[in-house]
Amino acid sequence: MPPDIGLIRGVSRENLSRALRLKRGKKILIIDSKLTATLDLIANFRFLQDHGVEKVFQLEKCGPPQPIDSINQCLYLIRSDLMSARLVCDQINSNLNRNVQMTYGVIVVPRLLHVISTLFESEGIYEHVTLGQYAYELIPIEDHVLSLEFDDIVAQLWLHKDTSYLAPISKALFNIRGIYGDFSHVVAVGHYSQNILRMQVEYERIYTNNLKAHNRQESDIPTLIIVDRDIDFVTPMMIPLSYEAVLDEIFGIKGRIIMLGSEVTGKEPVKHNIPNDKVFEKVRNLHFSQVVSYLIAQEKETRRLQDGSAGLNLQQMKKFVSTDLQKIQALKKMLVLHFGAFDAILHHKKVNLKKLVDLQDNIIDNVDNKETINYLEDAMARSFDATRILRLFCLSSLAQDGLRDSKNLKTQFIQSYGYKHLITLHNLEKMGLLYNFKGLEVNAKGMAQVVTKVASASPFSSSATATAVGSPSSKTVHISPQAILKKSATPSNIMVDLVTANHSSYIFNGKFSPFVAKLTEEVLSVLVAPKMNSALAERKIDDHLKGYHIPEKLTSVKFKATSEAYGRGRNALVFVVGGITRGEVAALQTIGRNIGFNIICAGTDITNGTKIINLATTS
Amino acid sequence: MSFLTEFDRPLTTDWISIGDGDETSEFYRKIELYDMEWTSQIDIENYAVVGASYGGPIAIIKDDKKFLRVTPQIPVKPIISIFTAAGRLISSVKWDSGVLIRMGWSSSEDLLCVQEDGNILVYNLFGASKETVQCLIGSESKEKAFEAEIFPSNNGTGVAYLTTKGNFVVVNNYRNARATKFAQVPFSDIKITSWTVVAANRLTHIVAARETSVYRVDATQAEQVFPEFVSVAGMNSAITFMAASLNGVHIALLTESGILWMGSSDFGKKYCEHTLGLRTKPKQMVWCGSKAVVISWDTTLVLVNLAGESISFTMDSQFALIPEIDCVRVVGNTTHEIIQKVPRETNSVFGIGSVEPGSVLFLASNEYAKGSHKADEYIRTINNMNKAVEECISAAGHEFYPPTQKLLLKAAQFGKCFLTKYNPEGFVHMCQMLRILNAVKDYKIAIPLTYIQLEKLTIPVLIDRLVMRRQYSLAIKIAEFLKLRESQGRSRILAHWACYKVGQTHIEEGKLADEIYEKLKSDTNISYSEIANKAFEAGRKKLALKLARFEVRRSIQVPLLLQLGDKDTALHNAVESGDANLIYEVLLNLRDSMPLGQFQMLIRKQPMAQKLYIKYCKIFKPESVRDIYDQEDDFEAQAALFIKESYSSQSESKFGARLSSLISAQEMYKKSKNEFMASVCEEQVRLLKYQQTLQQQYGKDFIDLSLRDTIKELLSMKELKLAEKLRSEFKVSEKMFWSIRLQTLGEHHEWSEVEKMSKAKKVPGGFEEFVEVCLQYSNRAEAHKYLSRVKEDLQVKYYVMARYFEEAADIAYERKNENELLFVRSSCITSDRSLAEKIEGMVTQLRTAPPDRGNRSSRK
Repeated sequence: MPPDIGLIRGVSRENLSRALRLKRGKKILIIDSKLTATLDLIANFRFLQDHGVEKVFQLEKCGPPQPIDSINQCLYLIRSDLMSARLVCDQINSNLNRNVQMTYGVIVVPRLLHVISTLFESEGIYEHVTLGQYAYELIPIEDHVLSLEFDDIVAQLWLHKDTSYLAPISKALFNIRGIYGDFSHVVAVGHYSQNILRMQVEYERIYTNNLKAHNRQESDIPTLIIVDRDIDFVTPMMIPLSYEAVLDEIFGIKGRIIMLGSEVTGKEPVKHNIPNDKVFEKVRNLHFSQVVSYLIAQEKETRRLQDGSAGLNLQQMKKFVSTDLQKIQALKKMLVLHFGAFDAILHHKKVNLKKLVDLQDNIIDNVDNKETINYLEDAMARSFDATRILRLFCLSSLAQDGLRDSKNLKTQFIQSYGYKHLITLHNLEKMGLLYNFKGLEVNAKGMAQVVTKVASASPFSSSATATAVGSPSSKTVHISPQAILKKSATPSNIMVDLVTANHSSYIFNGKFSPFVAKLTEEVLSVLVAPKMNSALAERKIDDHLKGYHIPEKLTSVKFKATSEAYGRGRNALVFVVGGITRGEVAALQTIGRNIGFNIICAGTDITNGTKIINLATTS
Repeated sequence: MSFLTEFDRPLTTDWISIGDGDETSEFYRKIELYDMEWTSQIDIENYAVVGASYGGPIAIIKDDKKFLRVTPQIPVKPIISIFTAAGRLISSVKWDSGVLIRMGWSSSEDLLCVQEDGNILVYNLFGASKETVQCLIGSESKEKAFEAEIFPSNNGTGVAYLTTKGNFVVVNNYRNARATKFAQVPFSDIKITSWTVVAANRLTHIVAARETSVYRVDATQAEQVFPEFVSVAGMNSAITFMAASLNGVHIALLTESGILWMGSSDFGKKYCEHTLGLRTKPKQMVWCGSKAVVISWDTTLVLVNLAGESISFTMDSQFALIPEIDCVRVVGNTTHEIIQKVPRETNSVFGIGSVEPGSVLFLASNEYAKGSHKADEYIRTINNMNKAVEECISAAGHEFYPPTQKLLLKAAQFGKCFLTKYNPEGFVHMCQMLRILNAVKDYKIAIPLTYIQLEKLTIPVLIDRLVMRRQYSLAIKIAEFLKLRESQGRSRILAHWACYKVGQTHIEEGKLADEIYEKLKSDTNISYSEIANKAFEAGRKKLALKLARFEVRRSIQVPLLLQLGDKDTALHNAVESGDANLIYEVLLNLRDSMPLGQFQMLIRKQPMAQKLYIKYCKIFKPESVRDIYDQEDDFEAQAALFIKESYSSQSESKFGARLSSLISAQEMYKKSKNEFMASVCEEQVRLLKYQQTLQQQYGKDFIDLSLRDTIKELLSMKELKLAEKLRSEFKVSEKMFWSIRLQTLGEHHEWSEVEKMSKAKKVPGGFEEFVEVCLQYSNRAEAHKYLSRVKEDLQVKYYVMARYFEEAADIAYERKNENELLFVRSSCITSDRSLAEKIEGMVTQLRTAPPDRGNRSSRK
């Protein structure tokens, strides 16, 4: 029995209406454009109108607000971001200078940071504004997918090392505990995940009564698996091959909307709404290669239904036309759309999906590196999409212990795309996504490296300690993507069938499973194993974690001794700090189906490699 | 059982009946609560005495004129003394403010002293001044308060003033001091002879009398009301005294001629008119609960009930009256007594000749205790045992003397045995309440409450009052006895205790912190920061710091540490919490409060804090970011900063600045031994210089193009030589250059040139690229030219790419490659269904009968 996801949506809306009451009565709403999509997922325009919002403007586009039709209240809804706060300050200040009579409220999402109120103070408008904050809960994108829509989190956490987001994440998880009952089993992997769990203690202290009120013996979601994105950056760099993920890679999916371009529809681009699409529901998790046969079968079916109308008498015909025909026609329309999308993907001018998939498979298998480099050089010479190229750079770095021939590739990259990408490269390096091949190449230079390595490894060498202190890797605890890849590779005794998608690795052509999926599978298998007690389960999972060579400091496993193995309903929450990918969602669904669990996939946002790379580029 | 014999005599000896003594008559009783400890020192005669209701403390002030009026002319500063209800001195306050016109207690047991200027001085039980409430009573400064009354209002404690100009001003709650001026009472030439506040329901109004006329006054109007007097003596004499009952429902008026009029406070109903016979002005007139009025003269006390019947008492000394909701307390020189209407249940049980079930049960129980068979007889006569038990329980609640309580409870317990279904809750509750009542009535605590008062007051408030009296131990015991929630009971009391403790300056700070921690550590609900704050307020910083360290909630602890000046710990704990908001709070606070150098030294110890600070600076003080990197010898970061600078300063005029930024970046990379990056920078500098010349030469935008785009631009301008020059200068690979050329030609649709290139000796990119370029610029036919020259193993794929599906299928078929055939099929299936079906046929054919050369030609 899956938990009622509608509950958290209700809480988000309730809190939003409370936040909007910061300014009572009719008002103008000025919203941070990065929040509009998020707000759409929580409430529609009607809801805003019900709370006195008469007009909505975008912060970045509109100038200082003016009173409209005697409405002189203005409410800002901004992210807790200094730049946006500054924009608000400028607008209000300019109004004050021009003597525009208005009152202002500022709601900061997800929370009012100290720096922001300080900024308002130092700009001298503190007494002119009422400040408030609004934190939404995890937003249900689908019944089994939750997101916090923190789009820039990877840059914040791994590039700027700004941890502002951790508290809201922790609070959101804490509220899940409040709404659905406490977690009994918690497995956390990664530095920030540990941090988030530690923050729970503080919330427990502050809101102790909230939790006690819900202190039920049985929890709706007893299991939490929380993982940092940087444990597995390989997965987002790969193109996952579930139909939904491919659509996202090529056209982009935002919230519940696919942006289909003119190449699909033949006419104007459409914003295709997922919840209305019955066909998509069926094909979204299919391997891309299987989509077309399903579509054809469906088409045949509709044709059969339509043909069936031939022998009908008048009465039956009437009924057919009034009910079935409409359905069939709607279905047909959807089928046409998906045929179009499929065709557009295959013959896409910019993205050669097949080539890219071949390349990424080669990179994972560490074969044909020469061809990979050839392709990259070619692509750069022809100025292909820079993001795709960087994704392959990063994938090679992660999967092969560093980018081979990096000097040459990077030089060409700069030559093709301009020197401002020096910063992009710098950022990617800082995020740990891009690094040079450190292995030993078979030449004289390589030999020399072996000698120095051996020398410094000797315990008596003076240089041993010196390098250990000096090298950056000693500060950050080292995670080996290869070790993780090795452990998540599909076991040789499993035959991955792309048609039935019988194993979570199907999204990567059966090569390996995303780390979260693999870990979830292991944890859940331990939970359902017979004769398991909490201590034993903890030890088993610890053993599994050791297999990934993840430093112990970064992992924690806690099972409550008294609670039942997996609670009623067999529900588990999987949360990725730094964004979950659609491939991972598909893989997790497969695992849920195989073990008989209902897995709720959640993340700070729904991400993919392009999004991550673009964060390094733009910021 | 010695005490039993005591109860063989009637318990009604101290009951006094009022009225004719017939069936309907009421009884009143006077019970002694305490022997006053002040016996030897205090003579009520010389003091003004005010007591707080609900068994509260008593404040007295010496008053020579027997009038509550202290003027500055009196040379000796008067002293206000505060006593417990048992007459034990709690504290004294030396009065050295203005003219005191009224003293009284608030509902939270604060002593309110009302001054002539309207200000209210608030003291706590221990005589410490809490606040002075400024209250504007008149528009002019000359207008002063002449009289004042302190009354319980619906939202706290109010103060009403009668000013020297005859205006009424009312403050409904002294805490917010919002004064409302009431309407003027007409006929201002006649003196106001008496007045009182009626606080019924939500509205407060005043009843005032000018001689014989009575007015009901509120904020909007003053209307005359007419209490009916039947007697001539009542009709024509001035009203000199008034009293409203505590619940504001009843009012009593007393005339100069000694006529007492009682009625409802809206004057809609008259209860009675009673001739007192005494014409001397009484000392006090208060309501005893809401059933009777008590009037006092020097040593005489007269009680008049609503029916107009009276009884009188004579006291040993002068005394003061304290009204309660269900009785009146009488404080004299030697004793503290209570006068109360005998409650109904008590009357049922103990009343002479009572045949109520409760009474019989009580008798039965007593007989049973004596081992007498009469018990059985009595029991048999009780027809309603349930009522009997309830009566005994209730009666126990109304007793003050524990042995009597016990007897009654025993009787109830005895009666319970005869009931099959009995909910014991009431019994248990009464036992608990009695324990508490007896405990707080003890003369050391001295809160004499009746059961009814306790119910009204509620347990949490009682606990608060104990806490206020610093009776922490008893408070905790009560909380634990009643199993109250920790956060309401124990934790809260302990927190109060700790706050009190930190004020004890005679104890050494370290010891105190340990003592507090020792008591509180087992409790998870305690907020150490609150206690620490108290310590800080008391000026004990060291203690505050020690306590703050015990706080678990970082979001509360960190700001406190900052306030206390422990910056290192504050920063450390903020970082440890991982909460960026907290870290920022500390950072900004520290930056503003310490020298920059020191600040930077401090934050470099905390990398996370430093990262956040840098991010902050990037927005607000970009120039300071470099300083930090510089200090940290972070060359890479500095270089990145330079590069950003170089391409963000767009304008032409700053071209020099851009170059120099880049050169600086290059230097930084050299410093950090990143030769690769350094060389890229160096190359870029050269490129920029080239671009500048090109820009001038051709009047086209070159600056900021990438090297590739520069070359491309040159190629499309047919500047092949220049392009070649750049190629060799920047070591662009052969292949790349080739690609760029091909792309440029395709873009300009110069297909003949493309063909020329295809005839070159060496084709670095292969013919695949030709196909792709043709397709990219939508020339399928042109692409066809090169398809046959594509590498063999890629041919099918490229035919498909150019959408020559049929040829692709043929090639695949010819090669007997089923996979390729299937690939062609899946590629064309959406666009050409018939072909797809044909290919399916080819696949089957391939499986059954592989083709040979002849087949192919025949198919054609």
